This record gives sequence, C-alpha cells and structure tokens, in this order.
Amino acid sequence: MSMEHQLFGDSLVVRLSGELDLVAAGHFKQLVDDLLDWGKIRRVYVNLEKVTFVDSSFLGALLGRYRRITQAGGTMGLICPPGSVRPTLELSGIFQLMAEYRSEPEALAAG
Amino acid sequence: MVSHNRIVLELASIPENVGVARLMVAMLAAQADFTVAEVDEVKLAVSEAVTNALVHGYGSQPGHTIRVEATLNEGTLWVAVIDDGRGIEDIALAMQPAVSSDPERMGLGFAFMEAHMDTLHVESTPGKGTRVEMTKRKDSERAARVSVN
Repeated sequence: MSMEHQLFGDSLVVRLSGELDLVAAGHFKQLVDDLLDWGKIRRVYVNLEKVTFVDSSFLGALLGRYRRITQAGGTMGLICPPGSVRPTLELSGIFQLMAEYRSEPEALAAG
Repeated sequence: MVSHNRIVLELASIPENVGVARLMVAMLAAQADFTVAEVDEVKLAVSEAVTNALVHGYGSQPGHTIRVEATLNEGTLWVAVIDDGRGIEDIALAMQPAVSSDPERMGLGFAFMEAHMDTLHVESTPGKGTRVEMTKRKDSERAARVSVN
C-alpha cells in the first residue's frame, strides 16, 4: 500500500495504491484527519486507480472521513475505481454516497 | 495444479497480519486453479474474518494469536479463522449488514463473507472466542448457506 496527497486550492486529492485493508485504513484516517484539522479543505477526492484490493476496514475509514467532511459542509468523491474492486464498492453502497469521477481533472473541474 | 493441500497459520494479533493471512490463503486457492475473480473473493472473505478476530475478538490489542487453517480438497477450499477473544453475544445480530460496534466500521464483514463464499458457519462463546468456517468451491455461483451456533 502506498499513499500520497496533493492540494489544489481547497481540494485534497489522496492517491492510493495496492491493497487497502485495516493497515491502510489507519494511515488514511490519520492523514486525512490531520489535513482536515488544518481547516481549509472543503473537498476530498480519493484516487483509487492503482488500488488492487479493498475490504470493509478501509471502506469504514472512507465512510468516517465522508461523514466528517460532509458534516462540515464539504464533499468527497472517488476517482477511477478499478473494475477489480468495483463489486466490493458496489456491495457496500458507497456509490450512493459519493460521486465517481473518471480522472482527477474531471473531479477538480466538477468542484 | 494441486488438488490436496493444507496450511495452518498462527498470527500475532497485529493489523499487518491481515494481509499475511489473505496472501497465504489466496496462494493456496491459486494452486487449485481458482479463477482470478474467485481468488479475489477468497481474499476479501479471509481479510474480513481475520480483521473481525483482531478488532472485535481481541479489541485491536496485540499479544494474542489468531489461528487460520485452510485446506484444499478436490476443488473445494475450506478456511477456518479462530480466536480465543471476547466472543460474540448475538451472532445473528452481528451478522446483519451495517451492524458494527464501532462507528468507524461499516458492519459489512459478515456480509462480504456470505456474498463471496459458498458456506459460512460461525460458532462463538462469549468470553471464550469465535470460530468462523467458510468454504468455496471452484466455479460456483451459489450464495453462501449460513448457519450459526
């Protein structure tokens, strides 16, 4: 698992790769919470293009950050979820909460 | 192709070992020529069961042991994930989707196991621990038959 992030104005893009489980959930939660504590981020986009596995631990961490940012009036979206993890995401119902984008430019333009 | 094989893992109760269990059981399934999609489903089910043992059985505390047994027999994979942690008071309630003792979790662990394995059997004694047994047959599209004790 690897994770990097980049700020575009008040938008945060988090790029994840590899297998997203309980370990990744902890890192993701800490990174995003620390950045949200800063108080200037309104939108969070999670780029899943290079992700090969997602379980419910990571989805729980994603949902926790979604609740936090939407309670503060912001939004969260997913970028490029690969076909191999799409069934898991669909079964979780996460697409009913978060918009899906085909690329980072599309997500940032939509904001 | 391997038609009979067996692995037994004793894992320290730390998050990094969820991936170890997932990988080892996936390798066993791959030996029997389970498809890539089937191996992915096995990985998810094992990940959920081992995470449950760690997070719910042991309260995310290190210093405990999670046992994973997996047997391959003529195209059927059998997996058991065993902890001697706190156990589950009401298994039927715990298995309902979106029921979790932790707001950071989705309560989808058992739902994912049911969706991706052919059978799922859960035995638990409060204060004694939990045993989750799952099977998956190659080329099977059946939804899991679920039983609890």
